[in-house]
Amino acid sequence: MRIAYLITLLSISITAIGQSADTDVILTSMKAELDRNMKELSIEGYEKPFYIGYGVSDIKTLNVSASRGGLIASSVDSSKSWYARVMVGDYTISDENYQDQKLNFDQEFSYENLPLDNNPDGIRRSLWISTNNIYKSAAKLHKSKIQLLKQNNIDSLPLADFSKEPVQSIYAPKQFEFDPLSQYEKMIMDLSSSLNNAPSFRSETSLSLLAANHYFVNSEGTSVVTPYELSQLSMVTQRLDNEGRFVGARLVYMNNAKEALPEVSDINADITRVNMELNKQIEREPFSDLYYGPVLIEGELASDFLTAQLFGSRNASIFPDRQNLVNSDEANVRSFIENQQKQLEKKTQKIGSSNLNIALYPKLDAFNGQKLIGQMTIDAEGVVPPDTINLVSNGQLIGQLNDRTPTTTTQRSNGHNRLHFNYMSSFKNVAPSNIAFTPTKGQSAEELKKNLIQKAKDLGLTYTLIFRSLKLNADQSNLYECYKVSTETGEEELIRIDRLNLAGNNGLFRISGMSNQLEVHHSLGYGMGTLPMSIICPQSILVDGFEIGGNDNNRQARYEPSIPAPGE
Amino acid sequence: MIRTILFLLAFGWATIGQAQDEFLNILDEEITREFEHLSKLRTPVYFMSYHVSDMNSIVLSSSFGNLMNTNSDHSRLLNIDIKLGNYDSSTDGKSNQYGMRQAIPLPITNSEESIKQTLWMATDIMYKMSSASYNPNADASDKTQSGIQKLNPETYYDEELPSDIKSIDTKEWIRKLNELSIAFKGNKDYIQGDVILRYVYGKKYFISSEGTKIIQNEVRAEIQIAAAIRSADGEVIPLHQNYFARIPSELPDQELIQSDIERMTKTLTALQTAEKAEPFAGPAIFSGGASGVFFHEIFGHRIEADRLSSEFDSQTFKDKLGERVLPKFLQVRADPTAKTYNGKHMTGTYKYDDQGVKSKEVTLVENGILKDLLRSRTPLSEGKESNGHARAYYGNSPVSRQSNLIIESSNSKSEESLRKMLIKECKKQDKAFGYYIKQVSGGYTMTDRFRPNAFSIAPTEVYKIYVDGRPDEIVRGVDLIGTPLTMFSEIRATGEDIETFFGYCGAESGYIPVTATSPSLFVRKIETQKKLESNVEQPILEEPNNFNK
Repeated sequence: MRIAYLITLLSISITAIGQSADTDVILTSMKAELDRNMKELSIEGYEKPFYIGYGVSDIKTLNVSASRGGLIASSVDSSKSWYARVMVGDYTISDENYQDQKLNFDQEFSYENLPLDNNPDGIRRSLWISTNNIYKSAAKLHKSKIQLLKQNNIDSLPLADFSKEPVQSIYAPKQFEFDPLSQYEKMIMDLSSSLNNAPSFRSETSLSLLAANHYFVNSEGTSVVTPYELSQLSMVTQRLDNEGRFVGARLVYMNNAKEALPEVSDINADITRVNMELNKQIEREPFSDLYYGPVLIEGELASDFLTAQLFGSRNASIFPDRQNLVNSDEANVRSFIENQQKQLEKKTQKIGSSNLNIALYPKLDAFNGQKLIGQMTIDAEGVVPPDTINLVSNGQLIGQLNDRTPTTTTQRSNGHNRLHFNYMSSFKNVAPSNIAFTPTKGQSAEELKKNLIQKAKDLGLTYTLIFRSLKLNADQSNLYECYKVSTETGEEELIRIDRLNLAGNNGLFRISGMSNQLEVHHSLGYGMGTLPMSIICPQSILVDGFEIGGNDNNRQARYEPSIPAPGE
Repeated sequence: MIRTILFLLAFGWATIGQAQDEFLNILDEEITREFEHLSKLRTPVYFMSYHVSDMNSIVLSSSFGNLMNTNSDHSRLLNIDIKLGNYDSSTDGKSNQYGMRQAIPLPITNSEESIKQTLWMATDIMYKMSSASYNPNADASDKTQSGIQKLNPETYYDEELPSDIKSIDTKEWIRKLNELSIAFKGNKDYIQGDVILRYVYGKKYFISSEGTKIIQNEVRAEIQIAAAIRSADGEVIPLHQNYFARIPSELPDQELIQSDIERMTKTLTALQTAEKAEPFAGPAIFSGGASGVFFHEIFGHRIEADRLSSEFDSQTFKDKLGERVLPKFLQVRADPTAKTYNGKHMTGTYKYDDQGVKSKEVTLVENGILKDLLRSRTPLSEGKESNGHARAYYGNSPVSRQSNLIIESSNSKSEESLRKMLIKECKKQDKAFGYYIKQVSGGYTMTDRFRPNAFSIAPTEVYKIYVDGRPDEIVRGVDLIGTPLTMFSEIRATGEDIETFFGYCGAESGYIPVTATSPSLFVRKIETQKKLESNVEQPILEEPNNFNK
């Protein structure tokens, strides 16, 4: 169905032809500057750094967008994005996880990017300035932190500041070249024409390819060079119904390989289906009732619901939330330490239905023969994740995602400080890889529908609702069908509900049934940029206490053109 | 060395051509169709225009001998102007003030369906925004409801740009830029050492419901050098140098830029240890370039007519036509038709402004008497027509702005005479020294009534001229401040040298290229204040140079 989507662990072992770790200019420059700074960097009266880490992403991107057969933009770009971390103190008490608002840091000059031309002096110059500036701040912060603890007669903190992790050594860069730009321009212009076989208000088709080699070195001896690839093809179309309401579709095809795009015939099949479905949707009268009761959510919507509930807020429980020590009076410092100690001793809480289990499988590249795009071998801090990380068991939180900053639940990194890219820059933050939501006891489709009807009946409802995502070749779409199901006969009637809010409080507790069939879905939306993630989840889930309609019916924007569209 | 001879050849393109421009035809069909509908609505449109910048840009940037950025881009950005009501009383919806207006990207290929769809959608939305704020019953005194000047249709097509200027030898330019910027390497006190090439070429389309159709070429090449050094006390001291030409091959030779960089590094080294200036009030000489910025800020912005219609503007010159505003020996003109001045390529030049009005030379001040203002199609007073100075950056509504401001004098003195005048004035004011302001990086001015009607100019190279005959001494940390009318009254004489300042002016309608040409100027009294201080410490370790060796 798709071209070459199984580029995963195999590619890591491919070393660029004619280049070794010893002759790689970027890597040797990073190591040289790291060594020089570890040896020589010091300020009188302050401690020397105990840890320095550099990450450099050598990025190539290709972007093409078109609308109705016209090319909107087209470019191939290169950049180097980078970060540096310099710490003073030791693993137990460093300058990090600490704030002192009395300290004034100098207005320092900084560089945005490393040179494009791999000039060793230029690479080292940027690292030199950055290391210098970070060290100065770190040294001052560390001194202040030690003084604060000393003033309050505190010898140690309940939680260490930085975790010790094994040294890693990987050298697996790839040589990247894109196919000619004109080839992609033609493909995207053609697809954008196909998308508009029916009249639309707005539409756009865009392609984004990214290929990068990421370099990471640290003073512990870790040295890692790994490739990152991503392809994303998006199609958006928006139309107006007879009442001026917007209806639209968004399709996304994605892969963690540079040019692993779907076959054009598969995309065109989706376009035909989308055009047909939107035409049908426009003809239907929108739902105007207010419904409060159970719903059955099927397909991609089930995945969207589960991820929206789990990741909807950074306060969600699988993400650690470590508080910083603040330079303050004795009472506040003591209170901070007591609170941290209490958190360490606290038992984990329940975060959802007793039937729900959540785990991460970062190294898995396929599930039931389907690609997984959240696959990773090593994270942005040079930590190799374990094969499996259990986060939730029978609704009980038993683990969290973590990087090298220890938290009250997890004192060691589980390798999930993930690198991701937004346009020409790289970012890193704690984020999931391949995540699996599985039921302890799954149910058949028939059982789920039966339970849905019974729950609605118990509430005195004459009908209930089923939302079914359309099955398309696209990896992500917002198209779904909604069925009104009679609680008397079980008959299904297709209706139109344009707005479906999957967020809301305590959604994971409101799950009262899950399918015994598991599906794979994908997302690039988590985090700041385009972070590939695969979601393994039940084909359908039964959720109680869902609100549909009401104010949502009135919120939808309407638009009546003053000028007839061209060609009308 | 500037190759001026090429200018003559290059400007020969401006002949009639491009009549069969496919893109223009698409714009024409759609604006005709849309106007047909919009002019018949209950709230009718009486004027609409499309302004499209179809531009290619190439940017190559080098820092300390390293290539930092290469970027090439092709875009078509649309700006729509819609006027509701009639020519006597109208509105453009004042959508700008809510930030609703923006450049709308159009397809860069001539796909008729795609372009027309985008034009339609953007125009429809713009019409709705405009009609939402239109008040047909507004009082005649409401300044926001004034109409625009009606024009007869105009047609002008520049000839197609020759294909050989549509690309550059990127590899060769990167080599040159790296060789130039490496001059700043090797001294850990340098915190900036950039040499940047920017090249813009393309066409600007203007088409209106009145039947005006204009295609004019825009070609501009620029090299910018930006360097900054850190003084022992942590102050960041910047210097800039820009070179403008029409196309990259007309930019100065590498050797000339190299020698300018050498002079720049010597000046920066001198500034690094120079004395910090104390606040000062006394005589000064401005170089021609510094005088250009001085006039641009304190005079130019006050003769932009559109702003003068606002009751919140200070309206310094609104009612001064026919009155003495500058010393009798000064003449000021704005000339967007000037292609060169003293052999230098002028960047504030255009054939038609952004409202489709043919550009023309405007005499602003004659023998010190104010003769005219810079005007757009929005009348400031009855009977006054546009003189082709409506300008805008992509996506902004055009308003009256400066082009090439040229200051000339009938009282020119030699450099030596100006120095003598300065020293004499210093003695009179009991000052040990006066200032020579050689270079400035730019400035700003406030013209509204909410804040002091003042200006500030940022000198980057300033010397003390001592009364007792000591050699001139470079100083740092000077900011020039003042108020316009006082400053005009202090101008005493001009020099024989003439210099042009090239820059980008940012005001209500965005950043646009402008020039200001002026002789050097002797001013009886200026006021300076201390510059905002920075504190950047020296790096602990040495710069990692010569890693390969």
